[in-house]
Amino acid sequence: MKDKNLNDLSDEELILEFQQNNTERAFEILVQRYKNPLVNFVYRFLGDYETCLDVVQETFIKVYRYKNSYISIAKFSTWIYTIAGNLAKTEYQRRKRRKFFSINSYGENKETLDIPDERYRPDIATDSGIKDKIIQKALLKVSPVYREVLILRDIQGLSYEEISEIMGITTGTVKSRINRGRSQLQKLLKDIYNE
Amino acid sequence: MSNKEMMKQDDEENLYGDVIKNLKHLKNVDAPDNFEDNLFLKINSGNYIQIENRPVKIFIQKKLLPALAVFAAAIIVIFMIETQPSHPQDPFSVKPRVREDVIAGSENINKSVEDLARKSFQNNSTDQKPAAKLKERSNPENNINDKNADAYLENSLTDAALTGDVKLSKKEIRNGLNFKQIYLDKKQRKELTVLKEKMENLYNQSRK
Repeated sequence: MKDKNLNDLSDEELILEFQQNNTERAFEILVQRYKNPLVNFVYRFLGDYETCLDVVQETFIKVYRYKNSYISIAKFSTWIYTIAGNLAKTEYQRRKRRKFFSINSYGENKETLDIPDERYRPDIATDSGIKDKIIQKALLKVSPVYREVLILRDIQGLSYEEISEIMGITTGTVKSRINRGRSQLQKLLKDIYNE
Repeated sequence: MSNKEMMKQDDEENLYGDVIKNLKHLKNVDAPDNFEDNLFLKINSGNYIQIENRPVKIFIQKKLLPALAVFAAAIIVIFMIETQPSHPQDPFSVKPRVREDVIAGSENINKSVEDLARKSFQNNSTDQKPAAKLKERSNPENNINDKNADAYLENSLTDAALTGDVKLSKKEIRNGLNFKQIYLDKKQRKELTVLKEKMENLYNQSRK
């Protein structure tokens, strides 16, 4: 199939083309389409750019390797978001464990551990880049169960139905988790709103 | 979506309007330019196999070895406790097991038939039905031959059971007797008929 035609195909048609004819170009187009949304999603969830890139690459590798496990009745976007979400959660747990052990084993001579003061500072909050950072930090403090739905809904702009498919939960649960997540975030960002 | 649900959703969005606005206006984070190059390099070089195998490494980690050892020891202990009987039995107090395959009570067939039939005649001289049945069946040509000897025996026992003295169900009669089943030869059959005739005579005499 010609390159121009492949670009016109939907995600589902592209993955089918890749499944049936092993057309690598179809996979490349899917990578082009999904690399930025996935990087944004995973970065907002993990808060670390380098790790986020690894996770997204792993997601595409999984799609490449297990292309035949995709069933055409599901939307491709929900399938790839499910893979990325699962990998991000696994990475988050791994990092959490590593962090826990590294703090405990820090300093053989019982040195004190300096933790930087990262509280909100109003004098520098005017800059939008810094505001983004503050929101990102607050987002990372929201419990991961709520954070994922919050990112998918309010940052990625997915529908409740799509989120429920991605996470394997009911739409009602999605809505309640979104509200709880928003409430947690609102409390964390209280200072910004008071300004 | 119903109007009520839509209104509820609007209320919630108004409540967290600032949060939603802030999240929507967050700057998008994009992949670097060399993202695809790195990805295809990984795919073509087969580096992804290492990434796939990462979870398997958990089982090789040295720090998990003590936990595994404890787990294995616990399983072994549980098995040992489970296999040992809580109250050891005295082998001399246990009854020997019945060897059904060895017991051959072929010699008892005639005796048991005779005894049971006799009992039924003696105890139920007023009851006509079993006696009549027995009379009919006493004809050796009708009832006792090589093939239906077993059926005859069963019927005789059932009759005896019907009289009330011997309480046996059909099932018990079939399954509960632990003797080897043999077919009677001509000589034995003759002996049996002689016995039957004797019994009939006895019965007739008792009636008179």
